[in-house]
Amino acid sequence: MIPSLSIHTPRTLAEAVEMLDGWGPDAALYAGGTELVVLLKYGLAVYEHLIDLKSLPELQSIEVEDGNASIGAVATYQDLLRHSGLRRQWGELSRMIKQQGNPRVWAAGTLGGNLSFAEPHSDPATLLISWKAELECAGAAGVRRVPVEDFIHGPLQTDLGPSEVITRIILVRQGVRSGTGFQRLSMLERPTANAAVSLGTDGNGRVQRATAVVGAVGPSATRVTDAEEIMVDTTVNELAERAEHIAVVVSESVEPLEDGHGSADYKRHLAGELTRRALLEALAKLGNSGS
Amino acid sequence: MLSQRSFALETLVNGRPYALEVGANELLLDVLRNRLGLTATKLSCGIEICGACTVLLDGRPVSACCTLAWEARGRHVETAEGLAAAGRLHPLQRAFVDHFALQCGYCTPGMLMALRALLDEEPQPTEQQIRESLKGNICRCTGYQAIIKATLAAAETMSSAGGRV
Repeated sequence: MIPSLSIHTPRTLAEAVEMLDGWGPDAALYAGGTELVVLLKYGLAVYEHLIDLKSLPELQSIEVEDGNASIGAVATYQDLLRHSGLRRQWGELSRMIKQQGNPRVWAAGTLGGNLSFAEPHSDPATLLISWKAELECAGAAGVRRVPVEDFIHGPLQTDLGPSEVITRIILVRQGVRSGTGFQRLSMLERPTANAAVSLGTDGNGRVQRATAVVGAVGPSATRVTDAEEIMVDTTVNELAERAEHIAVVVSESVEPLEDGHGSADYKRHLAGELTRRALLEALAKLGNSGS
Repeated sequence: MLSQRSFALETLVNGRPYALEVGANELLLDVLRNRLGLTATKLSCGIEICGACTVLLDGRPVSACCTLAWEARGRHVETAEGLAAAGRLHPLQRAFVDHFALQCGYCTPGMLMALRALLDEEPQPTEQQIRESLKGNICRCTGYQAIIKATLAAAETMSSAGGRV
């Protein structure tokens, strides 16, 4: 039984921020509730006030223009799956969503909720960081942008201020000659390990930019810069040949936590192997994009 | 601005309007089972993983055990009780019986509602689409094959009946 509480429907974003400011730790932002309601049910969190962000349409819209995307923090995963522009131009986002959770989670869950909860065993941050995605956050001090990479500090810890609301997730177009791979392994409800690799090349098949991110194995999704350094300034053929070596570099770089999902050694192995597969997937997609 | 510990819930459940005073802290599953006596929807894992509590909210499948009754305001809630019409089983229910797609029956109401949502969206689903839509519905008894066969059979029945039965 959830203890008695009040639910509030702010008419504007400013009102939501005011409510947060006024009630402080006694209030929680509420959208899909896929994490929050479970916490409330089992007494893992106690709040006097829930601020229902679903009453704010500006937090739900999805805009895709010139390849850039601005996703409302309270748009549901289902909204994202149904958006044809997102499906076409940011296809890995749909693939990532469909591999996590289930149709009921997609119907209610949101990226804003997922990112602000910052559960380490999670998929969205890994993919978003590989795209260098940013979050728009609104608070008493105004609006700011923060890269997803800098937003998540650790398990259940984020950069979000006490009176701040994530309003939008911003994806900047990756370029004509780009490819992204996302791989994950899950035995329990949440992922044990995941990896995302995003590559961009010039007209001669030379890699100009590369991001490699491993998530779920440690406190937060992290870029593996040792691997990225090897990926940049090679040709796509050379890179394919280096995939095994990159897997080793990744497995030696990551700092996994032992838990019910597996030992540190096992997670190192997964991190390397999933990165290798994500890399090959990204290379294959580059091939299709006409580089 | 609505700000309250309890509120007047006006909702449609299986096509029937209800108005009741509900706590902001009440769960949809509890309102359905304990306040409205609609006990087809089951409590099982309680953490929105198993799907036994699947109901449709404006056509979308949700976990009633982890959905606040607040979300039902002005919406249409559909449960397994609403599947049969005028004493006749819904084609999904008929197919479940015919294809032995249930044993203990505990997961069944949730399965049926998840499949109802699928067939509304995709009247002629592939086996892959059926499997994907049942991703979050656990059955310990049947091994799922019969459930998939039943769904394919129901889809066939419904399409030859003109899509709506």
